[in-house]
Amino acid sequence: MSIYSADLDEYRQRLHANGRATDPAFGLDELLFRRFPKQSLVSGWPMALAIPFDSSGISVNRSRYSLAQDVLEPDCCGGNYRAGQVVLEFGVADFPAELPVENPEYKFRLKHVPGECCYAHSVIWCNPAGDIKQPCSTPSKTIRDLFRAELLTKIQSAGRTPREFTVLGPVA
Amino acid sequence: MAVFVAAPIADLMNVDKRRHPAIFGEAPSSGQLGEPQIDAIYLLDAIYLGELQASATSETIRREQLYSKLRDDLRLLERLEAGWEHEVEAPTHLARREAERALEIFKHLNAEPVAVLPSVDGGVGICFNNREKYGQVEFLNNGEAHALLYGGPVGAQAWQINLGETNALREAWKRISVYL
Repeated sequence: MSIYSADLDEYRQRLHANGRATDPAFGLDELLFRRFPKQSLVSGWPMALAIPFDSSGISVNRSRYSLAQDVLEPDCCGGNYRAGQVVLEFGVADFPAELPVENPEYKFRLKHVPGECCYAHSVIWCNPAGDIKQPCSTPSKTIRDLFRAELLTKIQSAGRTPREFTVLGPVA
Repeated sequence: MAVFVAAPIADLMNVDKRRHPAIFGEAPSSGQLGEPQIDAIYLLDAIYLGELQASATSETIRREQLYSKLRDDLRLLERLEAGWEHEVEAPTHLARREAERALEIFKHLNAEPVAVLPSVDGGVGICFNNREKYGQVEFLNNGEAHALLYGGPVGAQAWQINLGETNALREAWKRISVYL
């Protein structure tokens, strides 16, 4: 069930897996969408301390298979409706490939990890080898912060202000 | 045909009052007075000083209001529950206490944070902003403190703050204020 899209058939065709295989190739022109708590915007821009970074990397949706608002759908939030969220939008080349720049300890790659109801789901995968076949691991606090800082600086310099969407359908 | 227009009586009555008394020789002119009186200079100084004090008072009030709001924001974090963000712990008492202590120090340093927010790494963050540049000091639930600066021309900087050191937060603010 969609709460941000009016056309349910189109929504299901776009966002549900519908038997599609994983697509490991990300286009350079693709955008990534990430939900973000509205209360953590300062002067309209996201703050680094609200970008989650756990042992499974950073979850995003890819634009080739979704619209920005789809990332707020319960289908893409483990079945939960999350209120008070906006959508961050950034390019696939907007996050650093490795950090720290001078002496890289961690590498960041994109991995398509589709869900049955959220085919667009992908992860910014990180580990010291930069290998998406190896387990993802959480970098040190300093590296996490540098990653967030680099990403947010790119988002802001590109003028990609966070997007807000209105609920259209019933919220369970 | 001539038209008689009555002049307003009030104007005729008050016309003299708009003239300086020196014109009628009732008081000395500025030329006759010579150098300004020392008392008058002191009076002007006193007025200027008064204005400065009033301005400083309003600045103090503004800063008090700012910090009052930031402390309120910090208190609101007590109500956050675990899982407020996917798999993220709520800020602990330790993190909130350290953030409160930091707010006091920043206030004495005339720093002006823009927000107090929960951190997705578990803890509390005090945020600073100047145009496109951002700074934050985080107090994590495990007792660690970290600072981050970004958005400026010299690139991002991240470092751990050793709260055990005297003046650690003062030094951190010095670095943040230079960056911002």
